Amino acid sequence: MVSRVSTVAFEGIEAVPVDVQVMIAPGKMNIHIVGLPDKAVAESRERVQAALHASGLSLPVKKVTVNLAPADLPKEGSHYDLPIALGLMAALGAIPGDAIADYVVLGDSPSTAPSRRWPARCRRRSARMRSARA
Amino acid sequence: MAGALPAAIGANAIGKGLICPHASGPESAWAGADIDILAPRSLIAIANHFRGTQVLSRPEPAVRKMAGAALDLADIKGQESAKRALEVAAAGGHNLLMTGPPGSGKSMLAQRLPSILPPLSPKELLEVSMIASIAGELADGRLSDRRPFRSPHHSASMAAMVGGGLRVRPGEAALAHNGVLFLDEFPEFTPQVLDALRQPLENGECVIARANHRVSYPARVQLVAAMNPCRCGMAGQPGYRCLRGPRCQADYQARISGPLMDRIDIRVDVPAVSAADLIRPAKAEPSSVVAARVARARDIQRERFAALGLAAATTNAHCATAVVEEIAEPDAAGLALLRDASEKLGFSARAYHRVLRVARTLADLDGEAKVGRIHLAESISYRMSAERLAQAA
Repeated sequence: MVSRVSTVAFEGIEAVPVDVQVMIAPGKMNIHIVGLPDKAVAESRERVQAALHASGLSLPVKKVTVNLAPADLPKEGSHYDLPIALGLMAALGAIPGDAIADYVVLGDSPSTAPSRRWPARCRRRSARMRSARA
Repeated sequence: MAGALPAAIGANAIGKGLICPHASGPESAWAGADIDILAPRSLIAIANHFRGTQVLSRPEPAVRKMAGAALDLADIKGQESAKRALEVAAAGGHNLLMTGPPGSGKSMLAQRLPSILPPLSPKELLEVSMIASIAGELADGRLSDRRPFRSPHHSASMAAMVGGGLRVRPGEAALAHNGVLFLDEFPEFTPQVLDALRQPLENGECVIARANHRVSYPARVQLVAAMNPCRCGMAGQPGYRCLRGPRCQADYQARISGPLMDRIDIRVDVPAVSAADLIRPAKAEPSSVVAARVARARDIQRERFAALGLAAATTNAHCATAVVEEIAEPDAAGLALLRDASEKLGFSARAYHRVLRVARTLADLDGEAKVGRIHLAESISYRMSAERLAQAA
């Protein structure tokens, strides 16, 4: 059960292709992220788990390895959450693996809640403050 | 989320679509009309899309509407020579330094510069937005065709100014690409930070080299700086004498290095506004009138550089030095003036060419094909601050 998702790393304003390879294999239940992730990328393990849980998917009782290739390029930022989540879903069979092959995926914490918008009252107030400042 | 636009452009280049969060959809849609973009609100939405039960539509590129009108030049009473300098700087993309006592309106003038600059062309817009996207500064993924105006505080660090830090983020110079970098209280900036701007001002790019990264950001900026003439701020005003004498002014101005000063083409004194100017009821010229003149001068430049086969976004201030000698060849009287001035005032090679560039812009504003003596005279006067002129005399 291996799936691949393409994403990017940024060098200046250039986007460098990065492959997210998710493998689910028998073993102790855990998620490992390898391929020089920084702290924000390493923490995506928890966010992705929460997002999958909120979507009604549960992780298998198996060992999950997420490899970010090329292995020698440092991966920074929070935009690896969505490709890792989609890679996991493809490996679990929740989405067809060949469908996402035609896409580059990037995005931060795949929203666990349906909406992250502020309540209308706060939005109106911030709009008023903005127009008062202008 | 940072970087959706460059990622979309990168994905388009390798013939793939893009999946990004809902909030980044409008931003990435700018990458092209033919790129397939999915911007789901949740993981469920994307699973449903691929299952075919709930197909996602392509996000639309959004343009940011500017809240309220821009600040207008008509707000400024008096300061006609400074306004003229501002117009010339806008027309040719020249760097500008305003020197004057506190409260004379330097910052007001600088803040009104965007109102007379022409809007960004589509290609420039994309460049500006890519940098803003990497920095995560595109509000709601909407793009605006107004030129960037960055005014960092003088406590800015080197990494904040030219870029760097943990993820080699773009600095203020890169964020002001194709726009204005306004440095208020110019001598209060750390000298190292100011001198770090020398390379971007000359090449139009910030090259950041670190152990792990080597990154180059475009940074073709128009530098606008404002400063007081001395620490107490009033040197040169009629009837005022600095407590520390002439050293006050010399020490304060020496904080700006010669090589950096050499890159500033237009230096103008902004004296305190007299009460007579303030009382005068008549409104000054509005920005729209000045902007029309600036746009005409920019059109002339665009046609000229297009005829020479150069990029459309080239301005007099940023074209190659070899081209300057060709396009800004002065007439005989102008040449004589330029030769005299260069000898007396000791122009560097760069200063010589920069005087020619400003003179070319002045001729463009007048709609003249040839650079005349009058244009060179004005251009040289912008280069020289009053006391250096007195020294040379």
